[in-house]
Amino acid sequence: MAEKKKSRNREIMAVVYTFLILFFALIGYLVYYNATVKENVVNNTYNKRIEVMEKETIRGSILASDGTVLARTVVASDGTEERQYPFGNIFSHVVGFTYKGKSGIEKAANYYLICSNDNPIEQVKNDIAGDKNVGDSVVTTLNVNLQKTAYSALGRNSGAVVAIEPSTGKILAMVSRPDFDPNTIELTWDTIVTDDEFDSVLVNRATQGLYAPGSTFKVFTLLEYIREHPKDYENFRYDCAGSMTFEGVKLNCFNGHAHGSLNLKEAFAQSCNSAFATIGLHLDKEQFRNNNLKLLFNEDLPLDIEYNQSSFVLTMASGIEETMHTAMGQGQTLMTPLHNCMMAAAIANDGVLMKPYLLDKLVNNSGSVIRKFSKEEYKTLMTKEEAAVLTEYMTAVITDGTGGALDNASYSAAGKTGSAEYDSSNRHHSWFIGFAPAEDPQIAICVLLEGGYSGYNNATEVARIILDEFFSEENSSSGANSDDSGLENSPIE
Amino acid sequence: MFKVFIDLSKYVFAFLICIYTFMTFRIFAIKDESDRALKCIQQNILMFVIHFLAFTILFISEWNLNITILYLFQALFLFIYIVLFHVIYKNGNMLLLNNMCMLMSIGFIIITRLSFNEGIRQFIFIMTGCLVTLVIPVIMQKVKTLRNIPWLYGVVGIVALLVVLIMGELSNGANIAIQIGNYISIQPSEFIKIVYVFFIAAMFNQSTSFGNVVLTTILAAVHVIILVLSTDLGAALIYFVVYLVMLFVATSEVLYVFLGLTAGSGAAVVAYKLFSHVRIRVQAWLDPWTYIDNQGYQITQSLFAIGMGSWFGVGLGQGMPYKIPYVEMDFVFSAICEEMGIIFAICLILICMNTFMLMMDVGMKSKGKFYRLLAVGLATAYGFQIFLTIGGGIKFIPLTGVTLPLVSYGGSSAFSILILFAVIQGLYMLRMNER
Repeated sequence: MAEKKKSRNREIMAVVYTFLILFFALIGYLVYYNATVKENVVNNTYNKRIEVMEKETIRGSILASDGTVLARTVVASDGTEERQYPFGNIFSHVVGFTYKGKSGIEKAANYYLICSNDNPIEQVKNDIAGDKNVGDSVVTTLNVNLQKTAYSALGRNSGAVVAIEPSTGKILAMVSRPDFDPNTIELTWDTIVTDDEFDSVLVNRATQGLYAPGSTFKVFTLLEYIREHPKDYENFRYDCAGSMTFEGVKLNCFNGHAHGSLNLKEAFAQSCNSAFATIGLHLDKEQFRNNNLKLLFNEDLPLDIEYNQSSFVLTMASGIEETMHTAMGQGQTLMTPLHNCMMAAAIANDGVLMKPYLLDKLVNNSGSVIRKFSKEEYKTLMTKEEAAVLTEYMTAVITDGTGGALDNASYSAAGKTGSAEYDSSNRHHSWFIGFAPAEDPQIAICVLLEGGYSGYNNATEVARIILDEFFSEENSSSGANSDDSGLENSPIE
Repeated sequence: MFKVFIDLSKYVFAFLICIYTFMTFRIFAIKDESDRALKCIQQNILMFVIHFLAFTILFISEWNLNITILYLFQALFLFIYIVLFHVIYKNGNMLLLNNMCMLMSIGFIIITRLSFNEGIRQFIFIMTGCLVTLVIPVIMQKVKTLRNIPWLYGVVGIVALLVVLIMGELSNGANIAIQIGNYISIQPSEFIKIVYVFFIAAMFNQSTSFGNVVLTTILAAVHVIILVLSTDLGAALIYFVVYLVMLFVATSEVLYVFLGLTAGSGAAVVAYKLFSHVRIRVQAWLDPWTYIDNQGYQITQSLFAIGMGSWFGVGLGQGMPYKIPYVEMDFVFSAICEEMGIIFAICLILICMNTFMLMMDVGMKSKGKFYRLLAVGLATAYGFQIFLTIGGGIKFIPLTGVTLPLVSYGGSSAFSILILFAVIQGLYMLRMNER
């Protein structure tokens, strides 16, 4: 009898256990949500609770990697609060603003800046006195000197600079010009947003600007060619007469220059359009498209601040002209400087793209570290071998090709230049992507000068100024950084 | 100063509810009757302390004397009800009673915080419901023909649901409630749920032959289909799962469960293709951010509320739970997360889970197929409804729009759940009387 009863209860027990699993799944999900995803969720303009929190807290500061203040809230004796940006225009886009909406780090880190993890006694004191608590501060990855150098190197030209530490993904500098002064944005707002003369200064060209990649795109075409001809890509030869014609479509090398007989490395180093258009015609278009989609075209980037997706349009159905132009970086392809810089950083880091990030840690009002954000591997874009070949070819661009402006530096750079036509005028955008030192990369950089730039022959010269500053700074403070060097093995020659 | 008090109270709430929850599971395992009784009284004290503390905060933050009056009535009612129950039903399940009162008092707190007027109405619903349902255990013990009238249950259920469907169609829109006069609106599917469990239990009690299973399945499916047509998806799902569980327990056939789940999945796909109101729910679940202005609004506001609340909540009266549409009905759990914190909310889930286990335990120990199935069916209806409402509110599963039993605002919901608890108490007493 007892046994029979037991067996009858087996079904009920099965039901009970099934439901216990459901209940614990609910609890598990709730804990998971609160511990990991909620911070990205609640920081939303539809969340009106945030507005209340903003009023009840004194906004925390935004600091550079060395602790220099980039943005802070100062409370006057009468209690009015003012947001100050000591560096004015220099960090305008990346740090952002908090007027009529928010942008940049001000937006991305909003929730952290208005949450107070000050010590409890301090908070209780404030509560009793009726004072506001002070929000946490964010320490960013930005390097003040590098940012200043990049800002002044761009000069009055429109354009952008992005610099990333390849081994971690830390964004060291991010400049976009033209710019604005976040201190006075309330006064200038109406003119900024309505007047064409200001040329959309609020746009962060480094992450939102979409430009034809020009010859920097040859890095992608080259990678595809190597992938399709892994054994014999070194046997490639091309005889350049300064232009090429295929089925009635004619295409010129830059300034109609005839490069003569070239192997693949020489064609890349000298950025021969005819050679790369020819390569493009023989690529497997479907595979080319799929590989580029894996290289983050038409895809969301892992970035916390506002950005645009790069776009790659070429499909199986595209015609000959479109294919030739795309392979050499014209056509309908559009890229952001950030995306191009991420590509350079991945090549510099043995093919592994680290998630680019701006927030390094949170500190409370008393200066204790609340939370440290760590580096994160985002995606492997190519094999180590492929990265090594690209590095070798990109080094040749500097030593024997179009990147001569970086030759004879105190460090060995690798890179790719580009100039992109964007309308029927003679003007073109000038690009440089690269990294240095080639054998043990510390920095990946992308410089873009918009068409009509002056003061330079090309973007490579701007990159030279910034990299020179980076390495001179590095030498002068080598003692502080010495524990970092030597950890990374240099790539196999 | 008041802010400090609220900040501290958050931790006190979390602490007290943790102790209550721990005791609930502890008492479950205690065999000694007098020891149990003592622990149960300690639990009651915890409940009254939480209730008092919460209403103190509500009173100070709104500075409304009416809140104090409402509090006194509620506390008095809870006290009298517990004493009355003990006096009338010496054989009752005191732990089940305690959990029920705890859930009711959490409901009182959060609904009064959301709307004082609804707080009063909820109190009246619950008070009436509790007193009326006191007779149910007696009926359960005296009336022996309950198991012999499956057809009556079936006909009543189907007819009542059909009436709602037709009236909804006539009033030109999705309406799952029947309006009587200006003030009373009844949601029959809540009550028919219990009749439906009686129906299935009585059917399977007669026979679990293949023919009878087919017949019962058809009639159960009719219930579910009518509910889907009247857009009451949450109820339809609960009815479906209740049937499946009861079928499995009655027949021990795992095959039936597989067949049922397959048929259910197929039906879900068909419903998704056929009905836009199903698609909208699924879309809002998969990607609420794209539809944040319309079908995703409710769930995203709920996620904001939970996220802002974090482990200890923002404090009673300090958040913005009213930003969630229908918060007092479908999203009361999110409001609790926001203001009282996730730790409190997890304890709430555990108390509900414990209540579910108590009900299932009654089923396991009941004599006779009818009573066993009855307890299992009602426990399933209770447990699955909790899973649906909490899972929907935290975006674990799509929203189905059901209430959190005894905590959410709503007369039909509260009343039907009180009947459910009373039936379970009746079953428990039947067993105790036999000992």
